[in-house]
Parts: sequence; C-alpha cells; structure tokens
Amino acid sequence: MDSPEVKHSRWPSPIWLVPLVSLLVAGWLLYDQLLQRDVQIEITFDNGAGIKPGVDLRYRGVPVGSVDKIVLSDDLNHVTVHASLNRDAEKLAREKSRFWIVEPELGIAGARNLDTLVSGKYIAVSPGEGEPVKEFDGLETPPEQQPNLGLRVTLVAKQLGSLKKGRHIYYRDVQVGTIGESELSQGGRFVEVQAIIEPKYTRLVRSNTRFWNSSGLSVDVGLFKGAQIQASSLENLLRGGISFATPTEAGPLAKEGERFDLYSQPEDDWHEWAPIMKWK
Amino acid sequence: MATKATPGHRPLAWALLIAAVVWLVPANLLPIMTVIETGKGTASTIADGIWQLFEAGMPAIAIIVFIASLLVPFFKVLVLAVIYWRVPHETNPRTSTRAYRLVYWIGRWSMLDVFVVALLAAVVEFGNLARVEPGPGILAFALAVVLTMLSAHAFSPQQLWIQNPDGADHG
Repeated sequence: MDSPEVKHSRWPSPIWLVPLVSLLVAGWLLYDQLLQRDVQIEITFDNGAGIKPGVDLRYRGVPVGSVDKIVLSDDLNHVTVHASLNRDAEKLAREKSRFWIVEPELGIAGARNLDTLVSGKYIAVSPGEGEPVKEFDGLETPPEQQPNLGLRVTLVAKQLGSLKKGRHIYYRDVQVGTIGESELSQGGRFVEVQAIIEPKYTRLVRSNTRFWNSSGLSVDVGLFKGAQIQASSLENLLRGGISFATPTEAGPLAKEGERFDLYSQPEDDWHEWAPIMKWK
Repeated sequence: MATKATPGHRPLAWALLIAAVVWLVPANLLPIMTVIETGKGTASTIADGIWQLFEAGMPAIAIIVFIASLLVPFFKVLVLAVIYWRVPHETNPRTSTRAYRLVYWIGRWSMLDVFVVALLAAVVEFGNLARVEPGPGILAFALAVVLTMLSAHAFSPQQLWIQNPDGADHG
C-alpha cells in the first residue's frame, strides 16, 4: 500500500512573517510615538496666578509648547508647572534657560503685553546654554528686571513714595537700571530700596554718586522768586523713578551692595555735574 | 490521516498568537484616542481612561473597563498559549476545551473598545469646540483582538483529544 510521502520544508512556514512584520511595525510605531514625543519639563514658580493647563509657552512670540498641569509643592511654597515643549523646540530646555510669566502691565504711563489681557497670560522662555535639563526655576519678573544681572546697590530713603519694583532708574533721563525689592530697614527707621544698574552702565555709579527720587513734581513758591516747578520726564513724573548723578571728580567705582542715601530732590548743581566716564 | 494533518495547523495558531501579543504592547502604551476640547488635546491610553473614570467617581465602570479592556485581552492570549502548549501532552482535555470555548466566545465581544472609539470619533465632532480623534493605540488594539480571534479560529480543539500522539510533533 502506498503511503503518502511526507516532506518537510527546510524553511519555516511563511505564516511566521505575520509576527515578524507585526514586530517591526509595532516597534516602529512605539518608537515613533513614544520617543518622538514632546519634551516634558517642570518649571517652579512662587506664584502661578493666571497659569492653567493649556497656557502657551512662547519663544519670540511663537508658541513652542503648552502647560499640561500645575501642582503645588509639598511645602506649599511653590507651584510646579508641568509643561510639554514641542520636539523642535527641545533646544530651549537648557541649563541656563529662563522662564517667566508674561502678564499685562497697565498704567497711566504706558501699557505692555496688552495681548495677554485677551489671550491670557503665557510663559515666555529665553534660551540659555548648557546641558539639556528638565527642571527649571521660573523667574518672577522678566529677565531684564532680574536682580542678579548688573550692579546692585542699596538706597536708603525716608519714604518709599511711588518707587515700586520694576520702575526705572535714570541717568540724564536715560534708563540705565531698574528698581528691585524694597523693605524696611532694621528698626524701621528707613526704607531700603534695591537699585539694579544694567551691566553696561555700572561704571556710572561711583562711591560719591548722589541718588534722588525723581518722581513727582516739586513746586517751590517764594514771595520774591515766584513759583518754580521742577519735574523730570513725563513718564518719570507719572510712574516714579530714581535718577542719579556723579560729581565731575568721580570717585572709585561703587561696590556691589554699597549703600547710598536717596535724596528726595536734587540739589541745583547736581544737574551740572558732567564727569567723563570712559567706557572701556 | 486527518489526525496527522492537524498538528500542521499549530504553527499558524502560534504565529497569529505571537503577532497578537506583539500588538498588545503598543495597544496598551499608545493613546487610543485624543479628546480635543477648545483646541487643547489630551491623549489617553487605556490605563489613562480607566484612571480618569476612577477619579471621576465611577469605580464600578472603571473596574468593568479594566477587566474588559486590560485584563481580558491578556487573559485570552495567556489561555490560548497554555492550551497550545499542552496539546501534545494534554491530560485534561475537557477543561482545556472548555477554556478554549470560553476564549472563543469572548472573542466576539472584544471589539467593544474599538466600537466605542469609532462611535465617539464619529459623534463628538463639534469643530474646534470638542473633537475626538482615534489614536494609534486603538489600531494596535484592534489588530491584537483580530489576531487573537484568528489564532483561536486556526486551532482545532479536536487536537486536545488525540490520545498518545505518536511523537510526530512539528511544533
């Protein structure tokens, strides 16, 4: 009786192509979807007002990511913003990168970032150098108002007046710095105002420099001299600011943290001072 | 002779089952759908969805979805693998056949997730206001379910009842 001849193919059944192809396609899909995902970063702020999931991260005005969620830190002192940065904006997440919340500024002397009134706040990023990192400390104010840049001196005043944080410091009505935090001195006799001078103008500040509060109007009425009204620029008048002048015989460069008196008004000859400060 | 031919089907069942296992991985790791509300999208995987149900205060539904979408697919694959493995030396064909029939019967209900996503994607379509888009995970899930069903279909439970197979095991 003939029995069927059983042949075994040396090759495995072609059906094994199904798992093989599955493996390749599924592997590629996983790689594409998981590894090419947005970059997750965490930014810590002291105050997260106005920030909610979906808020944009912007660089040069263009959205480069968005906020996923916001959580409170364990000690309740910070909020941590979890955000995802688009893959193509990955380079923005470097060690020295800075993040800050952009909010509308509205005042009688001007308005900034008005678009945020309608669209809501957003988080701006300025790229830095260094290793790629995922966790950042957010800035409370835009980088140009950051106290860690430039020369910082302390002004001692009797009254704070309208010298709020972020107001400007002028030299010959040119803005050369900003006003930082202010606090009462020990004992409460004075107000100490932080003044931050931009790095390129630090040579203007010498040990014998005089600072005065240039906000407001000074009106001097006398019986024989009539009325004298003094004001600096209109913006200064409205917003408040500090001006300073350095005597013609300029002293040595001011040191970091040096203390100066803040006069309530300039003396007449201060305006005449015109030292020649050599920029290196 | 027919009994000798049947073991030849096992590579088919195995191959399809392995392909199903492969697809189960992206099915569970990738988002199955993206819900876009006012322009902001949140993609959720199966596990995300279950967790959201749980957090929304619906633990009962969360458990049902957990069993139906997460446990059952793995359970089916596992049971089939054990059955296929035991074929040549099956000692308890009755239990195995029951398990096989159960898996085969569950198969027809396994596409529920796929239907839900398809339905949502079709119904929730309000332009920029709210939209549901299917994700790559649901495709992988559907493939895994179909491959599991095909694998079960390619297997014949008669093989479980062959007494003392003559060692002609082709694997």
